[in-house]
Amino acid sequence: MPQITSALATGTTAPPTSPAPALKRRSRTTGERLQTVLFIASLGWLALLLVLMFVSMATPWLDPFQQDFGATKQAPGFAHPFGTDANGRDVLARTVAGAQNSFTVAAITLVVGAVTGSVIGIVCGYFRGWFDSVVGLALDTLMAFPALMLIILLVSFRGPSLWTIGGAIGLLMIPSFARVTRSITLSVRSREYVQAAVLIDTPTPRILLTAVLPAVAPVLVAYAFTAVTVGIVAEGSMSFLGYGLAAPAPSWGGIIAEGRTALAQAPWITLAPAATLTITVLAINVIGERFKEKRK
Amino acid sequence: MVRRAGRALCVLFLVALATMSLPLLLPGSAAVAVLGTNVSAAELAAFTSMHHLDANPLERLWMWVTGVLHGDLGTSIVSGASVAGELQARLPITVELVVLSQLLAILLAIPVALRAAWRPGSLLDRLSAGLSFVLLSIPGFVLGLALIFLFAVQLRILPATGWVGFAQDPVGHVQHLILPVLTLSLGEAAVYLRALRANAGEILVENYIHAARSRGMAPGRILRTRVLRSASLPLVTIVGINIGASFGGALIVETLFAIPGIGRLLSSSIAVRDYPVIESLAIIAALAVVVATVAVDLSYRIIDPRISHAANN
Amino acid sequence: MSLALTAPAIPVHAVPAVSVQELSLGFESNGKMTHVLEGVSFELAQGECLAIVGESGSGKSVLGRTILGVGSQPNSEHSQGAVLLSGDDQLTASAQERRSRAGTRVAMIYQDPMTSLNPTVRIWKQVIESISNRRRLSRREGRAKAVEMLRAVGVPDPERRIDAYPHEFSGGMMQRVGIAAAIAGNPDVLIADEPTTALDVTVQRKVLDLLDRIRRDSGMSMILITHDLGLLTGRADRTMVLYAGRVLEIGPTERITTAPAHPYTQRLLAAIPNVSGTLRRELPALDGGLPPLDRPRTGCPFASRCEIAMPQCHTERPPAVQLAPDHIAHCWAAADPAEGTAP
Repeated sequence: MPQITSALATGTTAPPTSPAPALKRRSRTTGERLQTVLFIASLGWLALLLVLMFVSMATPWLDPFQQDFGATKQAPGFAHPFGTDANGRDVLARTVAGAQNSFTVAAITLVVGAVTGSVIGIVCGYFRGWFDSVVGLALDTLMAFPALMLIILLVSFRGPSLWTIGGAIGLLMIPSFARVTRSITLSVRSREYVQAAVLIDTPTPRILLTAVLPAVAPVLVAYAFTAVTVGIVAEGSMSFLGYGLAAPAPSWGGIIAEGRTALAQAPWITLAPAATLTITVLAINVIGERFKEKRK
Repeated sequence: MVRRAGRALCVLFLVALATMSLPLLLPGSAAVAVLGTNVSAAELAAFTSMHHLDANPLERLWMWVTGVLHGDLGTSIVSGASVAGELQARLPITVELVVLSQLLAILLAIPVALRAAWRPGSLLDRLSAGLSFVLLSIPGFVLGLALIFLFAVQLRILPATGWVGFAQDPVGHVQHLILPVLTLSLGEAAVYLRALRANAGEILVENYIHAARSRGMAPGRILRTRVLRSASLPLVTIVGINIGASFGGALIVETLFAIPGIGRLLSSSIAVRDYPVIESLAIIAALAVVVATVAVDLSYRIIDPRISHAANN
Repeated sequence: MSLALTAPAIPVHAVPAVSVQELSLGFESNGKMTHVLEGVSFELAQGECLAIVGESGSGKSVLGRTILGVGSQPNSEHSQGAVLLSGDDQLTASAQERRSRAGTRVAMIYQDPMTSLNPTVRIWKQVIESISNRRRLSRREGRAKAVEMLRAVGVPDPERRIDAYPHEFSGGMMQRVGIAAAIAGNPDVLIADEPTTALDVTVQRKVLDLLDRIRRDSGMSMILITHDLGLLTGRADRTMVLYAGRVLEIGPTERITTAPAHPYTQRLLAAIPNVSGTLRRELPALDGGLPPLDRPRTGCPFASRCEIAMPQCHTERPPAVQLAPDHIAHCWAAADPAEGTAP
C-alpha cells in the first residue's frame, strides 16, 4: 500500500515532508454487507410467508385440503410450485397451512414459557425466601425429565391440540426463562439504587417496573427469538413422530412424515416443507442475531 | 458437595414420585388400552388392582425400589415381558448411538474451533461460524431426512433405515450407524464449536498466553495444553447438559432410522399406557441427567484448581 | 549470591544487543490506520540497561513487543524499518525464527504477574517453559531447574513452592516467579514492561534490585519500560523518552534527569512528587492529551501541549539535536538555545 508506506517513511534528520492523506474509512466490509443482505432476506422470507398465510386463510387459493386425484405426485411446476402429494393436494398450500399451525404453536409456547417463566424468575429473584427454594427444586425436577418424553406424555394423555402442544413445549421452556430472569433480577436487586429505593418504602410494583423490567427486557427479547425457533422445531419434531396435530390438519412435521414413504419417487413432498421449515428457522435466527448485535 | 448430592437425590425422588403418580392421572386408562373397551367394568378394575395401578404413588415407588434391588424393574402390562430384559436389549443400542455421536461432535468441533480462534477473522473462522449457524437452524429430523435422501436415495451408498447387530454383521452394523450418528453429531458439533470458539477466543487474548508465547511456545502446543484445558470447562458443562437433550434427539433418530433403541420403546409404551415401562425408563433417564450433572460438577474441580482451592478454604 | 547463568564475554566493539532503526509501526482495522510508532531509532549495548519512558499511548509497550517478536497480529500490522537482535532482524524474520528466539535470546517480564502467569498450571512448569518448549526435559530435570531458578530470584523454600499455583503467591513473589521464567532460557536481552507498576511500593524496590543484580551477574542487556521517572536513577544507564510513537529525547540517565533538554521531559520531571522538598500547593500536571493517532504526525507530536511551542513546531518535524556525544533531543527549541527555556 504505497499510501501507508509514504506516510510512515519519515527520517530523523530528513527535511519535513508534506503530510500524506489519512486513510479514509472503507465503506462496509464484505462481511458486513453479507450480513445485511441476509437480514433483509430473512425479513423478506417471513413477510412472504405471512402474505401466503393470509392468502390461504382469506381466499380460496392455496387450499390445503383440496384434493385432485387427477394430478397426484406431480413434480413442482407452474400450477403447483411445490408439486402435489399422493392425494393430489397442493404441497405449497399444505406447507403454508402448516406454517399457520407452527406459528400458532410458537406463539402459545412463547406466552406459556416466556411470560410464565419470566414472572416466576423475577418473583423468585426479587423476593427470595422459601418460595425461591421450593420453586427452584420444582424447576430442577422439571428439567430432569427428558424433554421429549414429557411432551409425548402430555400430548398422549390430553390429546393433540394446538394448545396442548404449545403448552407442553412452553412448560419445558419455563425453567430456562426463569433461570435467566432470576439471575438478572438478583443482580439488579443487589444494586445500591434499588436497595435505597426499598429503604425508603418505594412500592414494590414501582421498583419492579422501573428497575427490574428494563434490565430483564432486552435479554428476554433475545431469548424469545430462541424460544420461537425451539417451539417451531419441537412442534415439527412432535408432528413428525406422530404426536402432533391429527391428520388431515396440516403441520410441517406431519407433512414431512407423510411424504417420507414417497421419498424416492416424489421427494418434493417431503423436501419442500422441510426446506421451508429450515429456512424459516434460519430466518428467525438471523433476525435474532441481528437484534443481539444491535444491543451490544 | 454433599449439599449438591442431597439436592440431586431430592430431585430424583420427586421425579420418581411424579412418574409413579401417572396412573392416577388417568385411572383405568391403562386397563382400557390393554384390554380394550368391550370389557366389563369389573374386569377393568381387576386389571387395575392386579397391577397396582390404583395404589398410592409412594407405595408404588417403594415397590419399584425394592424390585430394583432384586434386579426386577417390573413387567410390562402389555406384553408381560420383563422391563429389565427389554432394557438390556435396547439400552446398549441407544447408548452406542449417543456416545458415538457425542464423541464425533467433540472430535469435529475441537480442532476447528481452536484453529479458528487462533486466527480470528480468517476464512476458516468465518466459514465455520457460518456453517455452524446454519447447522444449528436445521431441525434434527430434517437433517436426517436430507442425509437419507442424499446418501440412501440418490447416491445409494448407505442404507436408509434398519439396524444390524455388531456381532452378526460388523460391516452392516457400521453402515447402518453412519447416517444416524451423523445426524445426531452434526447438530451437537455446531453447538460445541460455537461455545469452544468463544471460550478459546477469550483465553487467547489473556496475558498468560502472550507470556507463554514469549517463552517460545509453539501455537499448537499452546492450543492443546493451555487453551483447551481452560476452555474445556464450559464445554464439559454443555456436554453434561446435553446428555438430557440427547435422549430426545436419540428418540427422533431412532424413529427416523427405525433403530430398536429405548427411544422407540419409550414412545410405544406411552402410546399404550404401559406404565411400568414408562416409569422405569423415566427414572433411569432422570438418573442419567442427575449423574451427568454431578459428574460435571466433579470435573470442574479437577480441571480448574482454583475452584477446589476456593471450596476447601 | 551469583546466578547459575553464563555471562557472555563482552568484546569491546560488539554488535549492539538491540538496534532499532527507523522503526515505524501502524495497526489497521476496519480500514483505519493507527500510527503507533514513527521513526524510532536507538541502540542497546550489551550489558546495558536502557529505560524507555512514556505515558499511556506513547507506544512503549508495542515497542517492547515488537522487539520481543511474538504475540502480534500479522494481518493488521504494517511495519517499516529494522529491529535487530544482535544483528538479526526481527521484522523480516519468519514467525518460526522469531519464536525460536523468544525466551532464548530475548525475553519479557510483564507488568501484572497475576495475569501473566497461567492460573491452572503449576509454577515449575511455567518457569522452565523457555527450556521445555525446545527440548524434552524429564520431570526430575525440569523440577530441579525450576528450584534453581526460584532460588536465584530469591523465592524462599523453593523445593516446596514449585508445586504451587500462581494464586498461592503474593504479588511480589509472583513477579519474582515471572522473572525466573523470563531468565530461565538465558536470554541476551530482557524486556521489562512496567515490572513494578502492579506492585506495592515496598516491594517495587526489591524487584528492581533483583533485576539489577541479574543484569550485573549475567551480563544481560535490559530494556526497562516505565512511565515512572522516579525509578530510573541508579538503575538505568540510559533513558529514552517516547511520546506519541516518537523519540523525543535519549541520553544518559544522569543527564536526562538532571538536565533534560526537551520540554516534555522537563515537565515529566517536574511532576514527580518530592517528599523532601518544600511543600508545593499543586503538582504541576500536563494539560491536554495525546494527538490523534489516526494520522501521521505533522511537526512535533508534543507541540499542542508544549508551553514554549513555536509556529514551526506544529508544521515541521524537529531535527535530532546533538547536545552531547550521547545525548540527543528532537526539539526546535533545543536547536536554537535562544528560544528555549532552561530547566
